[in-house]
Amino acid sequence: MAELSADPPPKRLHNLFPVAETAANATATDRISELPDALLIQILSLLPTKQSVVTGSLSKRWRPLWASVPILDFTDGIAGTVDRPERNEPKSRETSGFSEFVYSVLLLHEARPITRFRLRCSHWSCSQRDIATWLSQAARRGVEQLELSLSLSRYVALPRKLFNFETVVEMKLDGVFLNALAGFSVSLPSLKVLHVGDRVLFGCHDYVVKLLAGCPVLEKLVLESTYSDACGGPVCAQGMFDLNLNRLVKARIGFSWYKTCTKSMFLIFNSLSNVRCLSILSSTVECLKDSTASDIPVFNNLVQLEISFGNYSWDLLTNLLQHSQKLEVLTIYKESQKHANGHEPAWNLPLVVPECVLSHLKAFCLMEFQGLDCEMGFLRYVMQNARVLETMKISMASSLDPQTKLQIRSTLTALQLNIQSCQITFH
Amino acid sequence: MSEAAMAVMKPEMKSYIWLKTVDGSIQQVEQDVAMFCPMIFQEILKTGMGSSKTYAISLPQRVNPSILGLILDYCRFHQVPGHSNKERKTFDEKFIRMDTKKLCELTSAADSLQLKPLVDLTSRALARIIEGKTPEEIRETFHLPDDLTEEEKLEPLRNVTDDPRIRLLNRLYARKRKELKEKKKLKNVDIEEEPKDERSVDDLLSFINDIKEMSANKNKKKNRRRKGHAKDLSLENVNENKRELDSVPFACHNRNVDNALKASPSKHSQTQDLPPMSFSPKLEFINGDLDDELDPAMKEELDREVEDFARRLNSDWPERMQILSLGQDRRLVPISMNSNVSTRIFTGMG
Repeated sequence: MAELSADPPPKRLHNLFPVAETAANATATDRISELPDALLIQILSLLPTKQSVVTGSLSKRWRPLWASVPILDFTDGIAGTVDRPERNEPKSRETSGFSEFVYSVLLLHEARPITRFRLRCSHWSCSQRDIATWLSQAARRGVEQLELSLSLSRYVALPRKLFNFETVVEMKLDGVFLNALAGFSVSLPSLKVLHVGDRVLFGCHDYVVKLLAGCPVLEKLVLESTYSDACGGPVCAQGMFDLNLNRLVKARIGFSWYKTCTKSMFLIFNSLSNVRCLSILSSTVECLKDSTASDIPVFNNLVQLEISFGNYSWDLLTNLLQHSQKLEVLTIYKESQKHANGHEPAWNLPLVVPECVLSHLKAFCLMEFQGLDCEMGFLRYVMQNARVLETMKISMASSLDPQTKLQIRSTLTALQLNIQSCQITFH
Repeated sequence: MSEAAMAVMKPEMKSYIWLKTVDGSIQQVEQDVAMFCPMIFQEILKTGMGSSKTYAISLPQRVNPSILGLILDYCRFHQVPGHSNKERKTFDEKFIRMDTKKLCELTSAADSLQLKPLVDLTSRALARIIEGKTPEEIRETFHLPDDLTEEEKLEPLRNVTDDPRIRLLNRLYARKRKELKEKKKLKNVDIEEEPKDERSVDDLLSFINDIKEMSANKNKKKNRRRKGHAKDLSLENVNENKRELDSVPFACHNRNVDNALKASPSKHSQTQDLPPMSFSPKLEFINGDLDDELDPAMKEELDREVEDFARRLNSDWPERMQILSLGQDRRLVPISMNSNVSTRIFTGMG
């Protein structure tokens, strides 16, 4: 038995908040300043820059510390809510000083390199030239992770340096216009993670291709922008790019293309052929649903696939399954769609059972199951043909009434008896 | 491996490690638990200590017995591989609830034992405590000494809020710094070392100081007086300046700043390092900018307030410079006997 010294266990429950020192500790000592500089800087790096700078006026010991924190996190407290038109212009007090603050910090701050730079601001707090200056400055300071969240209420011309950035490893963009990509080449030789949020306007689909072509070592891609903004079809077809993302491991695509932009669409889709995990959102599926088998690339490494669609893309799913021979985990998010009875699309049995279903599929998950014929058809097909299936998870749509749910459950349980090894769970 | 270490590593029975804290008390702890701390692990491997009471491992000074108890609780839970991530997270959240003093001690001890996960956990907790508080509140929570002067506390960065005087000066400072920095970059593209940054701030501050001295210099009698007091302590000197400023109408912060600046190089031969001429057109531009933004009616009042504020800043100028340089871990600015405030700063840093 371990012999511990006879201290009573500390009363943790009473001390949720920093309490005033008791009479026994009347000589209140400054414990925190005893920590080494590196630790204090680590603590400061967990705070937004504004708060971290505030610590500069605490005491002599703390004065220089904020300038060595390798993380810059600027937020004006308004960004993120600004695309709603009904929001009133904030009082000038809230926004004034933000711009000067950022400039001052950028000048007095000394840590090199800056590992993380995050800027979230609206168009009330700073001018677009301010933002461009700050981003250029961040690029020059060797930033490794960059996160940008602006407002689409105003056009901000992103600087060229932002896209010719040697050191950046992770980049997240939201609320920006990427039209400027027309004017310069893209070179992001270290970029491994690219996250394009859903409030990003590209201007033309060629620019997406251009952006991706400049990231040779990209490993994770998230492309959620669903604004199918005005894109001149002819322009789209003219861009000639060689898109080779052979290090890509994970991708999540929610992008949407016009019918006229199929060239760029398939170019991007084909570049995803090396991924291990792929997630396709409904807006992209919608664009791809009419594609033929020859349009879909062969996914040599695909192990995990997530796809969300309505009822009209079963063929696409079949094609994907045919082309992903090593698929082990399949997740389908059905979108509940209302349509007149009798017009439900049918699940067409494929001629040849997909290789992955036969010998690799281990986990299958279907969300928002509505009990439609096509869905049941698919389920039955999977259960009959998936020889190594281990788990199957069915989550029923909340729109179903309890009776229907019970009915479906019993039908599926009956089916399950055929395949002992598979375990079905219902939600 | 030494024999003692081999003895410690016997797999068949539960082994214990002996640990000694700085106050001399010795504890016996299960080996698995103790080895979770990298520092203890290293000690055992390297020196083979800890196998018996006489050869107990001496723990670093920052670890006292009660904190050691807490750390061992942490280790005991986390070294078990079977816990899920969620369980660990729940444990951590409960574990971290303690008063600030203990939290600091725990951070310190965990750091000296190189127990990184616990250091990260406690750092996050401390950051949560600091977040959202004003400096006064933070000082109270952690019992920090209040050893900065009022002026130091009014560092431009700190006051992002409403005070119009500070905002006005901040705007001035910020733009000047920016331009200075860009100029330096243009001049010295190759060299981007720390002294550069420092210089720009000093340049700027002394340059601003020049503005005030400019108006004072209009009175030649004061110039002679200043030279006469070459041996005086700087502070006294500055106080003199202050008095001079009191009497002279503070014209320079009216719309005539640019004029005052243009005149500056001729009066201050010692400020040759600065290229003041090139500043004035820029400052004109800035002034024009400011004019656009400010309500003309408010400007008069603001000018007066700026004057007050600048005077207050000015009185503590040299001390402030000294502390700035100390804080940024650089060479000290010796408060020399020169009469000229700006020169002093230059010779100190140059």
